[in-house]
Amino acid sequence: MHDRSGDNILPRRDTSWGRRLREPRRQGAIIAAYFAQFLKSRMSYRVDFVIDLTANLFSLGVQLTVLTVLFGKIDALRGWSYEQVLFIYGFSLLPLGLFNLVGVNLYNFSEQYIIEGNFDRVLLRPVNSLAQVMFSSFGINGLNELVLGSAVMIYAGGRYGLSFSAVDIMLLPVFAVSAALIFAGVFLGLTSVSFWFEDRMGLAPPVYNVIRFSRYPLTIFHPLVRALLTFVLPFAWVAFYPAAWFIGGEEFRLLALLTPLVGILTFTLAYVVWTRGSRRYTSTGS
Amino acid sequence: MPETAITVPGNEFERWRRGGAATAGLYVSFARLAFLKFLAYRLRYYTGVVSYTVFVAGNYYLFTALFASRPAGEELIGGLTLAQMISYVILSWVGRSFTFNNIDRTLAQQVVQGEIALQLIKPFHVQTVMLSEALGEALFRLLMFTAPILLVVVPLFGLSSPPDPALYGWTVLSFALAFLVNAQLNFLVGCLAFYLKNIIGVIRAKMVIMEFLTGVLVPFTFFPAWFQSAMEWLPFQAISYVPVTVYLGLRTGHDLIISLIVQAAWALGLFVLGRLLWSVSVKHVTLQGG
Amino acid sequence: MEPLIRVENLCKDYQVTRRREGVWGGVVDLVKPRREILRAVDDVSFEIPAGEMVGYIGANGAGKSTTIKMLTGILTPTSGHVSVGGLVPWRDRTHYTRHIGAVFGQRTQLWWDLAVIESFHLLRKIYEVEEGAYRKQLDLFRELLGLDEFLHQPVRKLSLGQRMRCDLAAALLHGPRLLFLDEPTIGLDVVAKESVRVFLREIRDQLGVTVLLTTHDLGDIQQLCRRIVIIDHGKVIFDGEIDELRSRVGDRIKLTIELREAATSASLADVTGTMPVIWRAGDGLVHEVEFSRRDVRSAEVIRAVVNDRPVHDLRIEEQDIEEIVRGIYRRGDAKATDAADEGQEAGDA
Repeated sequence: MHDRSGDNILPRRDTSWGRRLREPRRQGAIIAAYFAQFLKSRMSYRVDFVIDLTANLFSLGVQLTVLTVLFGKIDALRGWSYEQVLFIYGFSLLPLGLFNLVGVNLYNFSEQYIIEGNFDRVLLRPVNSLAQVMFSSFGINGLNELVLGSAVMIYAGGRYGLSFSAVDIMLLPVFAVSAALIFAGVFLGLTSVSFWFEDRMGLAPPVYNVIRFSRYPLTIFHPLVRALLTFVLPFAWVAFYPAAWFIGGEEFRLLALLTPLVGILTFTLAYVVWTRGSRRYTSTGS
Repeated sequence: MPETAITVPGNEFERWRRGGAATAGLYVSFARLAFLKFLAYRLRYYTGVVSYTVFVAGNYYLFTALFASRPAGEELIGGLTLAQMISYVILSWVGRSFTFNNIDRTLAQQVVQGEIALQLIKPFHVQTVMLSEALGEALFRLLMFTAPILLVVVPLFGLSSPPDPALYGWTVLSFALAFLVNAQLNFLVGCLAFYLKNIIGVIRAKMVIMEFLTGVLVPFTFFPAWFQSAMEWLPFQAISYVPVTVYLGLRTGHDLIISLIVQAAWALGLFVLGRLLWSVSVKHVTLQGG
Repeated sequence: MEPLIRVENLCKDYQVTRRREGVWGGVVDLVKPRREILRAVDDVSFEIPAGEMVGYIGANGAGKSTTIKMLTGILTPTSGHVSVGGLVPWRDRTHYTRHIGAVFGQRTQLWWDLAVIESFHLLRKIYEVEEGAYRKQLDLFRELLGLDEFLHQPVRKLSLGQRMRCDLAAALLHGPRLLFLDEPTIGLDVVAKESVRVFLREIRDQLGVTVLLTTHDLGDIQQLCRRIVIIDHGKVIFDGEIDELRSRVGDRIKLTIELREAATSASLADVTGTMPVIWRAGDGLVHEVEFSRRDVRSAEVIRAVVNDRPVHDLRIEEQDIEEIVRGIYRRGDAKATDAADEGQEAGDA
């Protein structure tokens, strides 16, 4: 009944172009399916959903209040006006929102996947392991940040008398996505460290804490700090440089244009570390 | 014979009652275990020091820039000099590194995962155990976080001495009370897990609000008077704003003593509230069946 | 014919950190952690042809799960080679996993908060199973495993037995050629265990799936597998058929004899004379005699007794496979069963 001929050979990977072209669609469909399932399982905890959103709004509200209170005492912060700083802040929420949508799992990776051994399950499936981890749940709060960030940007830009050219409008999403890639890259790199050091949180929290300061005009910091944020931990590119394209002087325009490059570079580097790390994965028990 | 069958276990229970010293010993060993538990997470300890240095550095530059940008002719912002402001930043964050703990999260996890049932059948009071563990954590933090952070941050950014050397002692006392108030508040938040299935969001909201309302982010003197007097009526300022302003010498004489008494009152009041909420919550759990 | 699974000199090392005791020990650990290398799988080699169902057994921590995890592509070996149908599991992982199914008894592969059927839908998408084939598989499993009663319940509400049945179905939905089972009956009650065994027999016979199974329950092995591989401290100490294992470890036989007339065991020992047997029970009608099949045939013992005494009843018991394996675990390295040495001398000294 059962044809046993050739049972000793499994089919090779299909490397035809038809297959390769279908692959992104397949991965997209899987991600969409993951998202749908996430919403379904999330809806069974509706109260928490509301609480999460509220918590997120609180945090945004507090940050805006602090900014407003500080600027109540001065006219400009080292030459940067309230509107400019507000604009940078608004912009910074866009990449952060995008990252939070799919990056929450990187933040909890060590605990959820390595210590609790759930990475086994990920590795058993014929989908890229990183994609599975990133898309296994979504930080809906990210939407909050996207909406609020846009609103703050529009408000600040309006008060500043900013006018967007066609190029600006095209660059804005490019910058936002590139900056999100930087976030993803940085946290992916830090997460991958947990393949070497089994510790619950690792380096992610202190780095996450840097984000709140990368939203200010970097010229207020010591040149050494600025250099660190430009070359070592490239958070200068998650808010200040790209935002300065719109509201800063000429001096920042080249730096702003480098954002996509930095994004791709950071993420690629982190992906290499991730791949090497996952080979070291030891699972739990024996 | 049935009588003895009843009275004998009664006597047995009597014998089970621990003496005061044994009870204290039990809770001390919980504190010791908490201390050891934190030692086990090596990387977290190293990165914690970095984390707090980042907080202090970021705020140092922010407030330095703020003072550099103040209108000509004005010395103070929010009633503080630049030197005071820098001390404020250092002390509020360094203080937080000591008072902070996760008992809300720990308790919430135990409740959500049902482990709390195992705690309930053991001969101790969970609230006291949680507080002992928080104390162990605080001692760990004092030695492993707060002291190294101070050693890094003070030479880097400069902490000015208080106007009166006696204030060192009062500040230490005030921070100890701050720890107690914070621990009681966290216990209360953790108890909410009995009513909300997943309280991570609540805890996150609490952290944000606490940073703001305890005065860690911005001194209350930056705010309008109505805000400051509103804060007087809430427990949050006891966690950071009070001890820091004690150090800066903004509370003297009578004021100082009152401030410390209010802190202690909050610690006690919230402890009693915690006991009450706990017993109500436990009843809730036994009625709901977890 | 080329075997479907070929494992050669497979090794896996773990680095473990040993924590020192007490407060001071903790402080020392901060500065200078104590690390040790632990070899969990040590020079393991075996082959499995297509269609076979093989039991992979060993005590806790013997290295069973580590081997399975390397075979499924989850872990990368420290050294050695694995080829499954010409693919290297960890290297070709995303492609390879399309052709295998795995069930880890300790942990579900399903989505905790979702209804079972939702997990199946998602798996269908992940493995790109065509609608028709999916329907067919699902209908088969619904019937064989009786899934209908809880197909629409969230996984977290299922009993362990129900969950295991769902996990088995989930692992086979995409029609894999190989199935890896890591303790599929752990924690199950007798009835649930039996239904898992019946199901596994069905899929072996109906679908021709090749199965590698680890278990602590030797009942699973006896009912499902002809061949077993025993691993101890990371090394293979036996690889062969269960019958062969029996004969290698001595194959004890216990013969219970019920006589018509009472006799002493001493008098019965005279009957068997020089045969290497041991008489157990004392005086009376019922006696037990033990011997090894290697030394003497049962027929000879029986003939000797029957010829001399009036016998009412006879019962032959073979030593339980569980006792055999327990004996091997206890002995630690089973150089006792010289099978392990074959073809493995090339390893380390």
